[in-house]
Amino acid sequence: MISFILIILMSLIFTGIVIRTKSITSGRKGPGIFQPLKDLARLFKKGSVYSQTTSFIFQLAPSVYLASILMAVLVIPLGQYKGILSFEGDFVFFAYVLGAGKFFSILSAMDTGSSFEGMGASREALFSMFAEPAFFLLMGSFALLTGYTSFQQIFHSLHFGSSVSYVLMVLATYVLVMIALIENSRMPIDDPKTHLELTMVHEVMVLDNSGFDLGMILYGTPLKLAMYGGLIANLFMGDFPLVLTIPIFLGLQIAFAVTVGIIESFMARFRMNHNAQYILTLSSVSLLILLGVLLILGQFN
Amino acid sequence: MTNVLLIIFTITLLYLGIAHRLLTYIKILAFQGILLFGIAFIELIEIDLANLSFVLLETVIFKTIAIPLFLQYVMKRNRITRDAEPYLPNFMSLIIITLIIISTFLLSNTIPDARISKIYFVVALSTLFTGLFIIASRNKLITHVMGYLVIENGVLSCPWP
Repeated sequence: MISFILIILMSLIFTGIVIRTKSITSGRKGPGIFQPLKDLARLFKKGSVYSQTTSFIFQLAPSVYLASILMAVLVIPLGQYKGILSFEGDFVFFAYVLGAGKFFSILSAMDTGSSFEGMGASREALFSMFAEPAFFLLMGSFALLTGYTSFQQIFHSLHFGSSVSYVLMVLATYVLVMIALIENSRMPIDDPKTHLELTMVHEVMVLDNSGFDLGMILYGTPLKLAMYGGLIANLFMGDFPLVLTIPIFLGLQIAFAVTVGIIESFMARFRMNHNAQYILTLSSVSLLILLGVLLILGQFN
Repeated sequence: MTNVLLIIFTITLLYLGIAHRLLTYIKILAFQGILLFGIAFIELIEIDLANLSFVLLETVIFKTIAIPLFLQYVMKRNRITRDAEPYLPNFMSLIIITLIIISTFLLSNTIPDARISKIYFVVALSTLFTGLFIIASRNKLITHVMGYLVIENGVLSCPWP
């Protein structure tokens, strides 16, 4: 319950912090932290316009997309405190409920009949498909290490023991940060600020959405980022009491937002045809995490 | 601690698979030299001047400083273009190197010899095969030399335990 509230609170200022970091690093005055929130509020006041070629799927998809992310947020724990939903194998639920949301947003992009949107949908599906084995290998390794299969139990019983476990944590953090950036179509994979349809990945999929629907889709991004930030924060909590977990959680979320801002300021975007191999690297790194876990377990020495 | 260095060593192999520029290859080779020095230094049975100076000479002086500088000199002297020119796309290289690591891991599990330290075996053998793969899949002669150096690093990382 606490994690849900914290993630929702964090999602309200997440993009604001990213934009603020970018404006500070480039020496501009920049908008305030709450500007993205004001933009969202403006969009939520508007009605939507629907093209005549679209069907009911196009109208349904933004709600399904946002609902799927909210469902996924429900299973995120806070250290030793469970999320609202917690059961055996909930990381599989987490991945596939997000997958369902993405499926609907892809369907709605195809529904518009625009060739640009189909192209963006194809790219988004490809990149998420490459990122998925990395996530499952990572969570599978942790499940093997701890002997549990739900987020709360896995994160509760993760402990820093040997020097190998520190490396595994660093690698796991790297993999999760990269997965978060890929799933949200952020900088090294996709540029959210690009103005050319041919080079877009996520933005081109939502060109036809407007008003309230666009607001829901745009709110999905900070919510998803804060959700992955929560997942990363959980790696470092263990069984601390609530007095410590909330500051650690908020601190790591802000650090994650600043990191995203710094990456977006200083990194060039990958070339589109090189994206696949960079994303596949994550799976290879996750495989090394699995080998490291086998090393800790003494299966392999 | 050596396990940590060996894991980082394996990550450099994956990075070799997706590197585009020859300069990146040279940097990776130099970094592998430093990692090898760390592994050798920790695994030294007794630290005396002769042992330490030999290891330092073999890893840091040769692998990290001399060979990369020489390769850079050769590249400049012969005006070699900066691209590695692989026959296969880098995506396939990455998949093949990952498969090499998996298969050496599976192979290490089938050998029942207790004298073999498995993690060294996996890292050394996968480095060796990665070097062979780089020689086979890249177009330029200088990349073949680099592949041979990778094989050499694999051989060096093997006999420490």
